[in-house]
Amino acid sequence: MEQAYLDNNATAPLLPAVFEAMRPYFGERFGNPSSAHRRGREAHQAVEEARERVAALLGASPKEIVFTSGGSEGDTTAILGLVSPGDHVITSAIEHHAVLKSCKRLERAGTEVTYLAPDASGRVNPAAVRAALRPATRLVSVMMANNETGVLQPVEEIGWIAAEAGAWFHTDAVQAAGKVPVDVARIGCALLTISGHKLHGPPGVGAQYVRRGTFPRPLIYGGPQERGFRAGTENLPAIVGLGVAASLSVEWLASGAAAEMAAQRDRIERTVLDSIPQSRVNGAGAPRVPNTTSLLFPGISAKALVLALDLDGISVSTGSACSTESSEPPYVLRAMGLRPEDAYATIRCSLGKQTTSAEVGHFLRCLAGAVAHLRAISPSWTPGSAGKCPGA
Amino acid sequence: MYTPEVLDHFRSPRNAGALEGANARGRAENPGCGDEVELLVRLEDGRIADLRFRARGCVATIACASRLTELASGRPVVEALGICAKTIAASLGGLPPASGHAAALAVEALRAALSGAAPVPGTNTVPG
Repeated sequence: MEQAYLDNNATAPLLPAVFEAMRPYFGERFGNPSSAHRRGREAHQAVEEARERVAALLGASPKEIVFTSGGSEGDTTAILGLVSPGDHVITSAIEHHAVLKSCKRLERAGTEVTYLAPDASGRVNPAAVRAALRPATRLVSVMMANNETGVLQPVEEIGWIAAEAGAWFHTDAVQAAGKVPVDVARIGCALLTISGHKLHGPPGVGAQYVRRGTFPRPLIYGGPQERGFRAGTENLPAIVGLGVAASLSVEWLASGAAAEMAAQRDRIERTVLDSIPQSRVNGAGAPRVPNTTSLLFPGISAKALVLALDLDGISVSTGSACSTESSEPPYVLRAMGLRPEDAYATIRCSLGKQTTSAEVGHFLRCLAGAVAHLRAISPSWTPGSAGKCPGA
Repeated sequence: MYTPEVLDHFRSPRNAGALEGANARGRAENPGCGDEVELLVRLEDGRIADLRFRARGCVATIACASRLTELASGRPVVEALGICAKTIAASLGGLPPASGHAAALAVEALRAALSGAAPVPGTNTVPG
């Protein structure tokens, strides 16, 4: 059966070159980077080379890169590591759960948190950040690209606003890195989080940019690895893989391939809007990463559509992978002002560097029929009577 | 994850759509997940002469509503009221633990239709 993997925001498969680069470190090149002997020194060298590669992706100095276990660890460290009771934090309502749940924990410990709603296009307004500032504001955390809509946030402007107010700025760049250029100097962030498996590296590894002079409290205590920012023996094969994935991302961005990916995304959206009545693209009016589209089909349940497509060999999702087990409507879409029934009727397609035109074609061939099948038995779909939806 | 029976009902729903001459209607919604089931029934002489469902929801919700129409069709109302969530789930070869609500939703819709106090046949037509 034909297959189409369009859920790269959940996890992007390892690129073959990344896998090949990692392979020796599971075998003959084993070693603890802290050991003094040859194996240790070689492992240390491999970690430092990966650090340089990741730094190059982010426009940072290698000394500002800390390896972690992934995006959730990076976000949690950023939120919990700089703030104390009595401080004030500004974040958005559309952050990843790693940020939101860490903020909830801060609130229980006596920190006040302001959650900013995005506008209808899914973008956080920098003016709202400025308006929320208080003398006690210590940290501002706004993601670079949203995982469900792909909408890019105005992080450069928000970074300036935070800097003027003397607050730290953290950005979760997990869904942006490798898809759009990331430059920590332009963003003006103190902390920036990325994850390996979202950029075709291995899962279980990530990196945190920690600007010189910033000292977040570690989450994990132990040895002196990662200059004390993050204890624990380094995950050598994964770090090597992340480094190579970062370098391949730099090459990919320089090659102009992002424009081709955006063209594939646009092809999906154009076909959907032309062929499926009353379909909509959430966040279409805002700048977005090239790989993500959030498609709304009034009258159906996205959970059923995901399974119907799965039966045709197609992988898409109802929202963020982290929320699949939950029956709550996707909170990102709700924060953008969508009605619950519309949030429940939205699927996310996310392309990857290996997505082919044939995969997109297979998806588009199956999609209209699957939506029609579900609408035909839906009590809340009456063709032609729903009128024009806002933003359609 | 889903049994072949569940997937079969999802792919080829039985008795889906509108019903000419329906004289009872029941609707149930799960506010927790947004799923919705509607049943249109034609009652004749205390029996379910015919029925149709419409559903917006997950795979299990659609499959359970579809299966329920088969179980209830032709039955006397008293008997149909005895159909419970477990019966539907068992007849589909079981449901994943997270989908247990789907069978309950179908039963709720049927009971809502039948508890509409069995209107006099043919006098309370509900448009399909």
